Amino acid sequence: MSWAAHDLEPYAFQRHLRLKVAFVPLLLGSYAPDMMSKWFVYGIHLGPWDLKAHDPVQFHRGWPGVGFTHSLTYGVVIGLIIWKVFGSRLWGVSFLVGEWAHALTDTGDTVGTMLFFPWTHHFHIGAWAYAGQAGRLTDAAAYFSGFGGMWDAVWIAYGLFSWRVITRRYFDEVICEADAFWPWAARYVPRGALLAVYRAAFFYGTSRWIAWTLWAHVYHHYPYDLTWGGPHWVHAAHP
Amino acid sequence: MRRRLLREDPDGSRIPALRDLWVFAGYCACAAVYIGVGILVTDVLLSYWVAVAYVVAAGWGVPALVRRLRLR
Repeated sequence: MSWAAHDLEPYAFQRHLRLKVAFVPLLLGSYAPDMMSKWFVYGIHLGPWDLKAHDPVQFHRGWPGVGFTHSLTYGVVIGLIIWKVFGSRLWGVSFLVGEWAHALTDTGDTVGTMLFFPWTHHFHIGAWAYAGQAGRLTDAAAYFSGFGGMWDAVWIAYGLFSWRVITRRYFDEVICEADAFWPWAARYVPRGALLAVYRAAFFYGTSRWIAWTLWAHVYHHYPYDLTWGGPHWVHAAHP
Repeated sequence: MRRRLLREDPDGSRIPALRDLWVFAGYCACAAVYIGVGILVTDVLLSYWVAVAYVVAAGWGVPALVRRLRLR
């Protein structure tokens, strides 16, 4: 899994793909695969109850489970539903691009994703350890100690290289022009606040990459292990 | 030649304007606070919605409030 790439990919894609995309569904697509499942992978406390998947890896990426949300097929199906329900091909395609980016990015870890679900084969490059089953904090420490964190750094650098996508001018001339959502929202919310909302995912992805890196390596002293499939101090899950 | 290339870039300037850099500096200051709090209370780092609320408040709300107070 990726921690910051999914926040930053939409900014880079909308600029460099040279496609007309709508930012809201693009971001929604980028978050969609984990939206319903991540809390159950790590587990939560609800009063006296502890809710956690019995087999987090199977639940998150497998079948039976909700692993189909990380497939290209899921992007196509939900994209088509959005197109038909909202009557907007742009929204459907934008969701598709965001979801595909997420599904493909997550093939980088040791579990990978069932890209062509219902074919349940897991495509995985295995560059960094999947450690979701170890809990949120251990997963964060492991992720930011291996190639996963480095992969996110690439997206941050790419995002900063594409600095124009977060300027007011770009927001006014490209983002608002491409999607009727923003002019509609501007009737109720000041434009400056909308601009901050638009920038939020970029802020979130970059800031939490820095924060988790400092938390793992300065506040705590987890060792870096930039070897393939690492860090090897954590148990890496496999499909 | 170099100047002409800069001017002819269809996407606008290749380097940020001073105003852009000030905005960026403001967001960096917001980020420093968010990162500091996030390291101590990691739950803050887990929610996108907390980040949205914070960015809107710190990146737009506070500057807007300061501008309004200055105008009075």
